[in-house]
Amino acid sequence: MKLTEEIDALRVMGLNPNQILIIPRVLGLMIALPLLTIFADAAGLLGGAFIGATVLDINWFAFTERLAVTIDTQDLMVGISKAPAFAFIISVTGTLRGMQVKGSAEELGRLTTVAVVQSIFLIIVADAIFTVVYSRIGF
Amino acid sequence: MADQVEHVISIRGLVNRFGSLTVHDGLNLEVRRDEVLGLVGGSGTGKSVLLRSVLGLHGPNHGTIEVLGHQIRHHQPGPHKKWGVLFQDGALLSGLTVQENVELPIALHSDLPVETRRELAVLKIFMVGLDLTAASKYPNELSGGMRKRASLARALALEPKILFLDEPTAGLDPLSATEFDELVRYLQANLDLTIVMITHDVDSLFGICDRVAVLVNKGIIVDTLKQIVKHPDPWIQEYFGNPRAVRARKAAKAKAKEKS
Repeated sequence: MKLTEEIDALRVMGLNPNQILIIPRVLGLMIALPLLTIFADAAGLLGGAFIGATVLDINWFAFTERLAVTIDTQDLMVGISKAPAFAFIISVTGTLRGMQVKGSAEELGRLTTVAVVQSIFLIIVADAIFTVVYSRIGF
Repeated sequence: MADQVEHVISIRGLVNRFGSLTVHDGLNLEVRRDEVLGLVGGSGTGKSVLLRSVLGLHGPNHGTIEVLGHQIRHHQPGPHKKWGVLFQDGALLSGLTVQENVELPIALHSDLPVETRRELAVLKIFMVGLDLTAASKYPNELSGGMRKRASLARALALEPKILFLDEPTAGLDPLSATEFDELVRYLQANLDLTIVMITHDVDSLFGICDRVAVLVNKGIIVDTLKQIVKHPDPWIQEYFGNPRAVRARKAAKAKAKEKS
């Protein structure tokens, strides 16, 4: 978008590109990522049940019974509560780097890589902070 | 008459620096109402920077810019309803169809009902010589020339007073370029427009411009085509003395004679 002067075109028309390009992406991901987390959790459990039933000789009934005992809603909430924060980090890093693209398609590729690497790094840092905070408050 | 000329754009003491490189140093420029001003200059003389400064996309180091009585400030709201811009490659929003692209400024700056807005956009699309099949396409499905026309339709959507064109004929084949020039001339005559046009195309320069502004020595020299070719500046002499320019000039003269 930046490359083809689309952002300039928006400004010239009197639109604030930050408003119409960044905010929807940030909000969108903050809604989508928790949903994706639930989906991933479900897929993980189903995969576990499948391996249990086929390889480890733990039947479906035993699996769900043990699951209910060992895992509670709090475990689920820990994962889901982190998701919006991670979504915010990913979307802000991505759009910020995207806005910095200037001139060439090469630059676009370089900044995409930068955005990915920085997002991953920031997520690890944020996750560490979450762990410290959650263990302090006993969540 | 001469002392009553109305200036739609006035630039005073414009200074643009990039690090140690000074591109404009105390540049003054006045654009008159209803004229077609061609902006030329060698590469690196700051044609685009000048245009971007006027549009508020670039913050100059010094100087004031006024467009239709509106003080231009970097990234601050400008006279959005009164200007239209055709960027070099069109700069249409890639996620919207041509029709939606043209409707966007109308939707933003007016409270017309959806139906009227749609009809108005279609009218503009026809005006630049596109048809309804093109209107429903996305920008990446169009040829370069069609993209420029579509972008021109968007620029004209709000019936602006000033139209900025950034190399409108660059990348077009000679036939499309001539057609585009004719279109610009036609629109200028019929819509009461002031046009500022960056161009490298000597044919459009001689074909449609009333005055020419040449960026040289960090400043600007503005005059009518007739006068500017006589200017002693070496770059101007080289530019207008080159065979392509000479040919374009002769062609324009012949055409003018044909008309009279």
